[in-house]
Amino acid sequence: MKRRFLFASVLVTLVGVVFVMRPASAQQADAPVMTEAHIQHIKASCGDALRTIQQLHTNDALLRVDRGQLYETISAKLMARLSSRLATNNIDAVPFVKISTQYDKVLAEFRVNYKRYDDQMSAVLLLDCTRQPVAFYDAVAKARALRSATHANIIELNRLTGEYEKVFDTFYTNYKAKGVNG
Amino acid sequence: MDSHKDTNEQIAPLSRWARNRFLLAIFGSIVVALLLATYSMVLYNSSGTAQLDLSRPGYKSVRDKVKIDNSFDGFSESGQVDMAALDEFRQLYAPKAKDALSVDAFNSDVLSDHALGIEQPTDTP
Repeated sequence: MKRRFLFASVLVTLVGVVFVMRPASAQQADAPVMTEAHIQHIKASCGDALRTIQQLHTNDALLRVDRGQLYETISAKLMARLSSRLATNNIDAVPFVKISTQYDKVLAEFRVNYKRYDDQMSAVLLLDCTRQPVAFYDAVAKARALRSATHANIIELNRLTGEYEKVFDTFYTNYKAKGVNG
Repeated sequence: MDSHKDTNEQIAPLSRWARNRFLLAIFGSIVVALLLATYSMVLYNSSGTAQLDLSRPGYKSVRDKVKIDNSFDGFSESGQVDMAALDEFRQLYAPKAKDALSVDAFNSDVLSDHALGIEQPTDTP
């Protein structure tokens, strides 16, 4: 009985270890191997890349302020106020509140993701790419992934902005028909 | 005479800390100011405020391009809901929605290996 229990424990542990190790090995296999030619190419052209990144970093700050201001305005000065006005007039505002709550959530995610992205871009700019070409390449890849996450937030915010407009149009049409019909 | 003697007895020699209390006050103030400044800098960086601050060095070129629109009052949250109010909301919302949808911000293509010129070089025969 004791032996069986021991055997089962060892078997479970082995299966667990294999299960845990598998994704790591797969990940290692998937990771692109940097060739010496690629490293030399990065060393040679990273000066231009850094200038582009610096310019992008500066322009992004302006874009962050501009887009952030716009999304905050839509959320606080339009969506929230319409919901509030509908509620005080005892009109069902649930479809609007649903979207605006989701909008605020994505907006909060956008703030966090942009901050992470900005911090990563600052980290990239601090690297000496001629001495650390591999670290530079990896840092750029990480920044790209974080920018992609920020972009995903923007897409979602835009989708919700459009969806809110559609819900409003439906509400508007129904309200108008109701008013005209009595 | 007795009162004079009493006064002399009352004046005890000052301790080392008490003698330097003025210097201690200055040093203490500096330490407190440094702690508060550090705390505010941590908050400034961790809250995301730094990302909105274009007065930082390096952002001079884009500082003037910021459009601060304080004139937009938005939709009033009080009042009746009627066709006039709904029309007003539509007029306020539509341009903002159009503006939001017009820009594909933070597209990651600009950070691609190819765009930065750090892609894997193709083997030449």
